[in-house]
Amino acid sequence: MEQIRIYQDYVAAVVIPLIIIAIPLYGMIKRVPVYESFVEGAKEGFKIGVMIMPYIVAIFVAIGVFRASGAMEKMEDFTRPVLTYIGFPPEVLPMAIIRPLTGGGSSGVVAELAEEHGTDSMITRMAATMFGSTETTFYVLAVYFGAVNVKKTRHALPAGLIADVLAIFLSVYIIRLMFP
Amino acid sequence: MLNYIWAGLIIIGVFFALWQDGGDFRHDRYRNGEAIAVEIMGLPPGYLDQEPTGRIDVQVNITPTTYLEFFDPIDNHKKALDPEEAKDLRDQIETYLAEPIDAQFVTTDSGRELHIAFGELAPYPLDVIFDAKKDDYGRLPSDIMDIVSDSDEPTHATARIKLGHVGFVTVKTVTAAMFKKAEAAIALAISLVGVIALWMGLMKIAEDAKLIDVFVKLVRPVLGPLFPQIPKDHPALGLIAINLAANMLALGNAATPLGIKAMESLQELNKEKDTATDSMVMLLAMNTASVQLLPPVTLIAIMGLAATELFLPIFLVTLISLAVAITSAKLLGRMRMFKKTDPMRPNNPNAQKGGAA
Repeated sequence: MEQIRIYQDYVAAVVIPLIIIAIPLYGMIKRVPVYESFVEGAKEGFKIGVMIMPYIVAIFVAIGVFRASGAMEKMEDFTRPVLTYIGFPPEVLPMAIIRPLTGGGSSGVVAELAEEHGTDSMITRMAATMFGSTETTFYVLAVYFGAVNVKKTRHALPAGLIADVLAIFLSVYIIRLMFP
Repeated sequence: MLNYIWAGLIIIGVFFALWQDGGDFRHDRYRNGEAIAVEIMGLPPGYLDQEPTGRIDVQVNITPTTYLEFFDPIDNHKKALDPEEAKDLRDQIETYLAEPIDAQFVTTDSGRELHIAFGELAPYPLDVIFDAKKDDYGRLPSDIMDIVSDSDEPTHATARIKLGHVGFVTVKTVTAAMFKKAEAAIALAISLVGVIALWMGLMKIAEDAKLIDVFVKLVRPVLGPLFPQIPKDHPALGLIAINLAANMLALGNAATPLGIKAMESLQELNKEKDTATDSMVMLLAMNTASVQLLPPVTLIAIMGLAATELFLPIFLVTLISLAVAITSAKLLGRMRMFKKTDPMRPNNPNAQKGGAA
């Protein structure tokens, strides 16, 4: 396990630099005007950054009020006995609830937890893994089926939610395993 | 649903705060308007007999016994303390009050005041009073009710002081948190923009270089068995492959239009236009649990370098959840209640003209 952890640490250290050289290199081989493409994409990125602002404000304020009032602590104390039994920290419960409903909002939850607990705390890591490994199921369903006017979605929602719930629990256990 | 959760958080938060503050009033936790006995040290001899103005530095002593009797912080705490927490609080009070506390003795036209620098380490409920009422210099102004100089020790005096009225502490905290968080949210979002732009720039190069084709080649062969209702050479399979590949690279914005194209293509094969086919359900299930080679760009921006450590866990979790999504889509599709609504079932009475493959 220790060996795997060291290995994982090394891989983590080089993965981003690797992507940053591999993509422009591949682009140059394919004769893409890399600089212009980059600027084009960065413009798009700017729009995304602005787009998520209202979501982050909405979530920060709502969770901030809930936390400052002491209600969060009460909820954590209340759910702790049950959740600890299954190895689930009560602090990540809001993430598990909000994740299938809103993408922007759940990125706000990750950011809020990162601010409260730090980016290398167990809780933030769990929430971040949940965020990265599940989708906004309700939104995806609404958009995809809405686009083709399908109203009877049959087993699409149950199948999606089963995968989501599983991914949420797996995120908790895998982080416990990899960052003890 | 989301509307209820969002509004619920705020409404419950504010009501909870009001309820807490109501408890503070009911139990008079901060002893508003009552005076506590203190000992003042470091006064110049005969100082109290003069009528001076201005301020001098002194030190203040409160005995733990007086503190415990005055506030009754263990039994009158806003939380129900378990024995260990009660012991911790008692220890904190003993340690904190063992040393004299720095203060200023202030004489104004309206009377004598003691400005006490209780600081961050003050025990409950003094910490709350201090936080609510401290001045810009980090001292808590308090009114001196009566003061008697010590007959044995000319620099010492005993006095009773009023620490000031405290109420609606939690509501005030909540209001402050609301503004502070709204401000912090935008500060954070702005700090994210740079990394998001960097990442999206790189992804745009990947898109223009058709890097996605490499992944389409990887995905394509496994799709046939998962979508048995799609004829082998139908364009739907290719579209699904591109959509899933885009999802693997976290190209969310590019993946959605591709997915919608794939859905339209599947709709052409559909015999009952308002009902989802098994293939559509499978596509959706694979989309909601798609394998993530790269995490979403906002996550990388929020987590910074810590995100790199999460690439592997996220990849593993999505790999397993994808397998489960596929299995559950297949198994649920075999259940009677879903099987009998399959638009592609043989002899479907609702089948529309022109829908057949």
